[in-house]
Amino acid sequence: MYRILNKIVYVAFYYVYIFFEFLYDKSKSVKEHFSSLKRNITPLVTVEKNGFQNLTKRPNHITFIIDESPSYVDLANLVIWCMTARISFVSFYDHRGILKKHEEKLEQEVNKRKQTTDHIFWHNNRNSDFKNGFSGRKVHVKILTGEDGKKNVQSVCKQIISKNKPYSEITIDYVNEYLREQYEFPDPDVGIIFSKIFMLFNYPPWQIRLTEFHRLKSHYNISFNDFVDVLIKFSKCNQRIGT
Amino acid sequence: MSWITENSLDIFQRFVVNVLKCGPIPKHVGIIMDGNRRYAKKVNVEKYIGHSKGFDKLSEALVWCKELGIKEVTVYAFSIENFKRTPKEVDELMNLAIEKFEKLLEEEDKLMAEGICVRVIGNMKLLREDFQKLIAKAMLLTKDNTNSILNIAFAYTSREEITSAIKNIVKGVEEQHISLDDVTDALISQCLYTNSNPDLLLRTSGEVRISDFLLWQISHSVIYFTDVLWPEFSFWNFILCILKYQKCYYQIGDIRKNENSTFHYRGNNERIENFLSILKQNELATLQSFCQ
Repeated sequence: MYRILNKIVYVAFYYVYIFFEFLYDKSKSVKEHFSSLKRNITPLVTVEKNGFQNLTKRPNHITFIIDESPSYVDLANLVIWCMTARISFVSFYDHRGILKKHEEKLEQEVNKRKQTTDHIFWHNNRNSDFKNGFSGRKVHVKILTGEDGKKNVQSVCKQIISKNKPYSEITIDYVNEYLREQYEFPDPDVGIIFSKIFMLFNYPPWQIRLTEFHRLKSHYNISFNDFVDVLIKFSKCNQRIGT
Repeated sequence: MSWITENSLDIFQRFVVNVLKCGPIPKHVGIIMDGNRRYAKKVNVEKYIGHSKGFDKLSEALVWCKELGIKEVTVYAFSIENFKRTPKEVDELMNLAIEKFEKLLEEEDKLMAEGICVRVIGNMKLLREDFQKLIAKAMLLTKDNTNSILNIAFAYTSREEITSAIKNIVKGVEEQHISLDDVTDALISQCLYTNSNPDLLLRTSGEVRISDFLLWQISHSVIYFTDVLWPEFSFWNFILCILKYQKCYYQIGDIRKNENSTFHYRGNNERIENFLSILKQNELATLQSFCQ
């Protein structure tokens, strides 16, 4: 009897929580909406000219974690915006591997949007021709799947064994070098999780020790303002490593 | 303040705990206790008082976890990177930790009666000898307790942990305990300092980074960041965090299902079992050598 009563109270309690969380989220998004109006978000065209000059700090590598079926149009927009913000490395992580399978769809969408002087370097198996000396804007893009994390550590471990490296000479930096070779990109500075839940979905563990994570509910119809908001948050945050 | 405090919840709090227990409760919670120094600055006291307040909060939080039925807690007490702080602060932190471990050993009866297993994860070789001895004593004393587990990450970083697992595996192959084909990500998991994955990771004080804590183990944890400083983290903040977890848990269902279908856990063969038991024996031997 007592237990049933508790259960009923629990359900009531839980829904009161859901209700208040909903109110809180709404009030926050309204507040953010007004503050971004005040900030006078510069339209994309002028931003393109000055390349986000008002940001004191910008990420070198931004990674997007996707937990829904990919919308290639929105992801292509993200690539273009990152290039505009002079972010050199952009990666997409889809733990289900759908994006990896249909990488060419993303390429098509990006190609539709880019200017002729823009250079997009696709880090995949098909073309790995990265010449230097382009004058236009450039960005490196890589697509990661659930296979790229712990499995890479496994293969690095095997590589080290086959090199006959004595175990006493293995250091963090040594392992890091091997893993960096596989991951290709520098460690991400910012990670944006598109999901209802704040979770990493088995993202490559080695690379994320200093990544700043933010969560947005979905990447469908993501607006330029949403993207800039995250960059501003990153710019404001100063990192203390351990000290 | 002691480690194992008597139930300090009031009637209303106990009622809320009982109600919440009708929903899903995480089995293992990881906590990054951040904000002790900012708290000290805020209330204008010395840093070490902030750290000491942080410890008091931990023992309070352990009571909440116990009442809620959370079996395992892993806390980030001291990172290898923290050695870069000023020598004065590092010393103060070490002294505080040593003092607390002495206290823990004094409470031996309570520890054993409650069946609490205390483990320190991290590179213990980086610690002072007197501290190593205390840790080893506590770990050996409580190693067979199973009611609840408290993992304290001290001189810990996740990269160091993964590197040390790789080292152990390379050594195992060198000594021909295992073969190259036995090397899998599952084996690496089993060679880490801890092979238990938190259901919930909590970080206080507004930072949105993982800071090299359990990077391998939190791959499917619900992550909860809050702006509250750790010494100010209250029972109600914790309840809010659990509610958030419960909400996520109801949404997670389908992800976990997908996970299970793609993740084929291959059972260990005899060779690997043998290798893992050798690792365990070595660990015990190291602890025993610290005690002498």
